[in-house]
Amino acid sequence: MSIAVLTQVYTEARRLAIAGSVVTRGDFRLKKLLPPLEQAGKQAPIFAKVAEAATKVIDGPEASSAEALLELTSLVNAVLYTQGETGLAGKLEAVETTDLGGSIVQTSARVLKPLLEALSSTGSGRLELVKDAHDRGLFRDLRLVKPALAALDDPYPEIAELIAEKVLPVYGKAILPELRAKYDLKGTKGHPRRLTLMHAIDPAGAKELVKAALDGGSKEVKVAAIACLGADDLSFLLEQAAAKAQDVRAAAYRALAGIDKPDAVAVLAKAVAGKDYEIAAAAIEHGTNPKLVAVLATEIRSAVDSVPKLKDKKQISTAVERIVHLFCCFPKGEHPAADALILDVFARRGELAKTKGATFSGSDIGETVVQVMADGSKAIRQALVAAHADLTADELEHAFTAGRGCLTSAKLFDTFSPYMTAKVDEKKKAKDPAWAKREAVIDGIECDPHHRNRDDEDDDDNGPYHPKTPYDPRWLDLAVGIKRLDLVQSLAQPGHAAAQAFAKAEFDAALKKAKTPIDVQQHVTTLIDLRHPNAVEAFFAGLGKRGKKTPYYHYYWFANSIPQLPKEAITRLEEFAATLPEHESNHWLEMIHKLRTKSE
Amino acid sequence: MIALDEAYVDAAAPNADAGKNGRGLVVKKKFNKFNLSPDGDLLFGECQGSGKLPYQCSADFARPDQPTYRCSCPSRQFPCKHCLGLMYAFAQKKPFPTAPVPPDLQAKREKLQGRVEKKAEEATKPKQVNVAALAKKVKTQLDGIDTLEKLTHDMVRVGIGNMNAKLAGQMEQQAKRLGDVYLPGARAALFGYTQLFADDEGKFATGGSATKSEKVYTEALDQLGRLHAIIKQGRAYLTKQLEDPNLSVPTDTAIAAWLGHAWQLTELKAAGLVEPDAELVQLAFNSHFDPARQEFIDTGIWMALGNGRIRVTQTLRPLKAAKHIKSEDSFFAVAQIKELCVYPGSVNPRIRWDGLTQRPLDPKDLQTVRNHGRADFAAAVKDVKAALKAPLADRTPIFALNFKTLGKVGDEYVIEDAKGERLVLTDAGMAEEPPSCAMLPLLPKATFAGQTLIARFRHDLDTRQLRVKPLSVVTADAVIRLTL
Repeated sequence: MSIAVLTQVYTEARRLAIAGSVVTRGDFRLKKLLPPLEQAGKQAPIFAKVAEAATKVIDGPEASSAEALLELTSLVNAVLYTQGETGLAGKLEAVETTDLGGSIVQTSARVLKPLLEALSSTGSGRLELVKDAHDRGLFRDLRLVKPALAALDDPYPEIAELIAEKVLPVYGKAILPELRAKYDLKGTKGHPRRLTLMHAIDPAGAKELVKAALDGGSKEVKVAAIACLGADDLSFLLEQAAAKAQDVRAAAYRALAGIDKPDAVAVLAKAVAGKDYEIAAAAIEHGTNPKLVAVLATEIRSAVDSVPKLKDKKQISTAVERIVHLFCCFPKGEHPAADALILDVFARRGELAKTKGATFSGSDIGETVVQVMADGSKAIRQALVAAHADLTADELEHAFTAGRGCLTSAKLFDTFSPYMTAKVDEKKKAKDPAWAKREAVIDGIECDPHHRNRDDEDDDDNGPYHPKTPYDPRWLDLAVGIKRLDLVQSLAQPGHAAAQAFAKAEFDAALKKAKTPIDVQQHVTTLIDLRHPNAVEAFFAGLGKRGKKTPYYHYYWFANSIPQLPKEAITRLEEFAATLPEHESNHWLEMIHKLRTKSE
Repeated sequence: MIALDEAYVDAAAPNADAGKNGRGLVVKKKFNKFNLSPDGDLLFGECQGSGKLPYQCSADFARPDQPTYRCSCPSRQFPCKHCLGLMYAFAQKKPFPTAPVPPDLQAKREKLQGRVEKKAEEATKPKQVNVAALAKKVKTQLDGIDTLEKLTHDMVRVGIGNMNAKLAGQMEQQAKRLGDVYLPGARAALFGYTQLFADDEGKFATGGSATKSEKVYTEALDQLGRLHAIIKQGRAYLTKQLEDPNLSVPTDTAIAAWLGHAWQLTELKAAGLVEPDAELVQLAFNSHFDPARQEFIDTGIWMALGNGRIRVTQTLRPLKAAKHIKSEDSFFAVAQIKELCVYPGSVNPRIRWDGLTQRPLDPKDLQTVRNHGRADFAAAVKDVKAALKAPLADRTPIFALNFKTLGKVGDEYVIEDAKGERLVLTDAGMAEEPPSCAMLPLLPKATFAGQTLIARFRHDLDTRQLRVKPLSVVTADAVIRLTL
């Protein structure tokens, strides 16, 4: 079959259809194709039919030109549809695959659609949806790969960052072609993320891209590229550490902090001593190089030495502010150079306190050192604890915190309990040093972020819960002895008889005076934490103080205590929930659900 | 005894929110009463709403494949959240004490039973047709065909190159008349042409871009060809119908659907277009918005385990009523259907049914699907080409292809059969479903040899190449869906 001529006819018919059928009459290009068509028609009748249809187009009246043209194109198209080419010559090679690990998830359309919408639209509530999908492992559904890649440019940076840091790395090298295709080195927003991601997935493969970004990338892409550099690019990094833009310098410092070479250390040392001390110290803080810690320690020591010599209050204030900032930038872990400096400054804090500045004074250095010691290495903590007798009340609280991290429960009790039992003047309060020190220890217990009895969902600042050695039970005896309900609540241990009796008595007394549930909230939560047999009764008795006009926030926290109640309370709780208005019952039911699904 | 689980209720919900709200009602203990009828087929209860009196809701499983949901609430969603909540409660094993069916509900059940019996009886009787009215309708449709012809010829005379957004908008205004003359399908086909000159949201902006028009010339010409075929075949079909003394609808052609005939299940059954006791496996599902039709289209692609034929379900949800119509969802079990109605058509005809029951999909079913796959690509391509040459054929037919290897030639993904015949995979020109080729490198290694690809063929008129779009891969363990 002479397909070439048919293709030509189609091309001409298409041209005429574009121009309009009114110009088809006598078209010479189409006319030229009639002889070969007629010739072919002798062997295959379909060509004769096409020739006939083409003749009608060329010679037919203008009134029927549209129909004739449509007839011709339909006929030619029908034939050409049977001539589609398939196949592809060449060596068939295996597809380079990326194992996502685990099994592929197949999610239903009803779940996928809202998620796809969240990834490709704007508006509130999307981050939660994406986070939830990530937590549920839904991104293991291959159909989400493309939308996730597109979400790198999401206008809401938190979504884009979540996608770049948590979601996309799972797909590995398989997404590299797409990342590369969309990447624009002159771009902003999503493009630095693309470069960082490509480098994280395939450092060797992204080398050229990083180089190109450094040569001609936008500021944002350049910053991302600098962060990708390593020891091989030292000279370039040294150059960038002197760049005009602060972002670029900060990126260079971060990269240099990971390189253990004299030149890199020297540049950071210079930066810490100069105006860039904040960004340089931040780079050191995120690294692990002991030489840089020594650099930081040397710089602080020299600055601390100079403070007493200064006369101008403004200069003193500026110098102290800088020292305080640098002190907070020691990396976590054991660093002998940092420890030596800290101990030295701790010993000199009395002398430094004499220096007065405009805003910051020498005493701020002492406070900062004590704070740093509370979270320092074991040796440093022990040193702070050992000095407890000489500390002020404020410092004692930090010493107690340090002791929690380095002493056994019994030793902690032996060291700090005397402050609880000391004779104090309750009337003088803070004016009595013994009272202030007792309160400092109590604050130390109550503010212990590692000893929270309940999940406090609204208080993420305390970081994740890290269980530590439990408190010595004698603390609770002491708390009961000094009749401190707040302390009993903080130290509550299920089944402690004396504490239970004390808390119940306190509750009964408070209930009599209570006007709203909030007046007995602390008592109720204490009873719950102590697993008092009457805790549920107390819970509902407290709620009984709710009047018709009592605002919801007066008993909001009762709902948050529900997961700590025994499961036997579920029926009563549900009955109560049914009496609440819609929006309140939603919160209540959520908490009942938590209690129901809580493992024993 | 009613057997339902939460997944069943999820699937019965018209949308995700209705399901969530239904669950919420159970959790919030809004139900005052849960009961089960003595025969064990009816769940009924009372749910407190915002009004004084509770809503009376029920789920009747007297016909397990076609449950009946009733509720006294004013919701237009069906089943409403109250009926869904009732079923969730049952699925969650809440106590449903047996109680006598309330008289009004019993009356409704009896009425329904009566209707079912009457329907069954009527199905055996010949359908009474008002011939005069039908003849009038067919004549009106023939007039509509004349209008369509006039509009189409006008567009051809003007020329595709001279068509712009303004002209297309004017043409669309005139074409709206086709809906009034019982030719909604023809109108949609005309809109399919004019929409080529609209923007992505289906709006006609003045001052159409020449660059954009250039891109759509080939497609526009193909669409004009379809309109031409609709005019010719539609006129012949309607004339034939008019000549028939009973004005019966010919069932050997898909032209009725092109004109916009809404097939009734009874019509299909009467025409014998029914397969008894069919078992279907869903191989792919997608939902997209068609600006030409102004409808959301939920398309399910199914294979009948018995004969291996691939058919499609389509739920059309007009934009204006979308939230009141149940959106379809992916289906992961085996659908068991007593009477499967198949529309007239060629390769992948549309299917519908009255009610279904389901059973879990097991590896044997997947093996059956794989056994139905076409191992000889050349033969499959021949069938595709034979189907494509018909002017009103589905331009993107779907086949199950058993490939020996899925690999790459240069940058192109290719499947190869045992004889070495190859088909190139592409996403080009098939925008209803999102692109799927980019997902292939993420598939497990075992997926690249000896599997079954569910693929949509497309002939590209510009390049003259016949390529396939991967929709899903059927392995021995799963159907891996690549589109949505």
